[in-house]
Amino acid sequence: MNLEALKELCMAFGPTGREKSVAAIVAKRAKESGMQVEVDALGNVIALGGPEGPRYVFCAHMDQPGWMVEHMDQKGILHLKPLPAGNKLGQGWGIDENTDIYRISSNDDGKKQEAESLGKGYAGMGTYIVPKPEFEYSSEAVFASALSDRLPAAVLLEAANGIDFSHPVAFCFYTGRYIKAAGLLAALDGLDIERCYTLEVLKSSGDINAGMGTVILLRSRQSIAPHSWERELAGFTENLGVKLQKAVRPENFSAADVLSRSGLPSLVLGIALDYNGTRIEKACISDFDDLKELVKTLSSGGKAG
Amino acid sequence: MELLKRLCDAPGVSGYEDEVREIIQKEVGIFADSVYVDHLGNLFMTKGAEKKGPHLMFAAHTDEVGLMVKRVDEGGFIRFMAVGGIDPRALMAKRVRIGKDKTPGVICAKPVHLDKEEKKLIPIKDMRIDIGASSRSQAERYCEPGAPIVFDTMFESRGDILQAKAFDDRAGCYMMAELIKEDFNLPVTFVWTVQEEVGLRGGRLAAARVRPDLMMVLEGTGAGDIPPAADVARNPFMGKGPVITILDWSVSANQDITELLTETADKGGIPWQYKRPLIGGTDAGAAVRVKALAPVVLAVPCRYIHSPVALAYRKDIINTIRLVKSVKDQLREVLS
Repeated sequence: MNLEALKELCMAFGPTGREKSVAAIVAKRAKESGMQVEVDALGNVIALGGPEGPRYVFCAHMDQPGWMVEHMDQKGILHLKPLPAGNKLGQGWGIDENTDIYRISSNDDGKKQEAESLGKGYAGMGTYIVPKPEFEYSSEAVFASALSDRLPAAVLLEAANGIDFSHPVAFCFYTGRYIKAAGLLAALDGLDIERCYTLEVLKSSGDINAGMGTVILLRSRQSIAPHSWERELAGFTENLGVKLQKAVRPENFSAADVLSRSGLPSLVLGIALDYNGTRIEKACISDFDDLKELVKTLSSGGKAG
Repeated sequence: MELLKRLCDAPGVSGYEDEVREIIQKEVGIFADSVYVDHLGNLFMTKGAEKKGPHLMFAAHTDEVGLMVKRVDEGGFIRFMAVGGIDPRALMAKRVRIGKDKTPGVICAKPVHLDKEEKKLIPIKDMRIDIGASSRSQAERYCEPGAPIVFDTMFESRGDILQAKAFDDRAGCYMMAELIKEDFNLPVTFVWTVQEEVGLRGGRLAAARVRPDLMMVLEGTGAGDIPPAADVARNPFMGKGPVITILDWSVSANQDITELLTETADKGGIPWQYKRPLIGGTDAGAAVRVKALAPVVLAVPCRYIHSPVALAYRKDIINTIRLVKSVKDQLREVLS
């Protein structure tokens, strides 16, 4: 695992709708891996590798939760609207695109959040703020902000380094995950798709655990994993020595929901995270490496069994 | 604003937008190089298809929220359902028009001295419309299941103040009808869409047909400057100019074009304001799920949208048109 590369992604500013910094890092690294890269009008990064033909497509999102300034009251307090999933981020430091620092305060349920600027003020209504990025690691785990939003992209980018590209592959890094995966379908527009895998993180909670291997999401809100792929993958991971764990989360949204409703069968491959959705999340390095190996092998056209 | 009056007064509940479409087609069809209506009812008008550069698509939806007849009960009262997002609190004792014949009716409300549960909110499924019929058979002569029901509200203006139903989105339809008279330096398709209020249906099909590079949605959006006092500080405000979306539940607006709009407005002395984030969605949200394009949403602030009557200021409509006219020749450069 390339910790510096993951750190660069986790430290990048990229709330929903302002993913440009993340997209620039992703596009640069995908190009360095020899992939043909295009950034579309929505800011999605589409990286192609291998010959023409029906592609294995791997998707990861780039945006992160945060807040947007709604208005400033007479005392100079900024009233914030949490972006989707942003109401769990709680109190602490925030940062805007110009690296100005804010103190974020929150009531108990996280629905009413306010900020006070410590710096030059703020750009005005519409200013995006995200939690001040943090990144630490041990020999076994990474503790960082925005880990759930950057880990899937980091897996793909690191996997890209070791793929022989004998099989047609596309890596789609999409925008707007937190507004119902707004960029996802457009990112896939025009691609000749054989099958889709979406990479996501899931909360450790008994059925799946950090450090216990790659997660297959069997069921999310509006999608069911194709059973033949699931069986195929199980046999395949055994050969690779990669551990598999299965999750059923009918209450959770996943990118596969969007894909399956559009007639694109897809499978969610994931990593279990501790403290998922909070300011500092924890991921195990072994899970990252397992998923990376799986992506590399699948991308090379390998099939299970 | 005579055209706006005609557009607002015309019935156009989602799925039944024909009358609105016919007015637009008759009024401004002559300004287009070609005119086309698709199977769903979206009205397309193109200009400058031979021009080079990114393809711009304007969109405004012709449909409005309203009601639909479900059935008539034994006593001749009409059961109905909502079409689009309507707060039941806005319905009691309101006048409506039903079906093709525009049969007048009123949504039943018990007089206060007969209603012992006066503070209880009645869900729409339990409401009835009274057309004065004394039996089912008599009522069925005037309406049938599936008939659309519109609010019986006529356009009025007093100086700058406009009052009507369906500013969402006849305001956008009107603005597009004004803009199609302009010259553009890039290929443009104007689409008056259908069924926006019931799931952004027309916009999706329209985007798939046109496949634009830039989509500018023109809307009538909810103003937030409504009492009680706690809400008064909340934008958008009526009278403070076009409302520019940064992020809603369906789409994140293109940052470069948004900045072009705000900078151009500042230079030209046009007031503008941001929309509060994560409220609602528009056809742009459906379009970006079809194709990667640069979406922008510009709106006129209106109080009490999605209800039988709304208010708007004429100057906000004029300023929104001014702003689009001011940026239209710069769009090509920003996108290239």
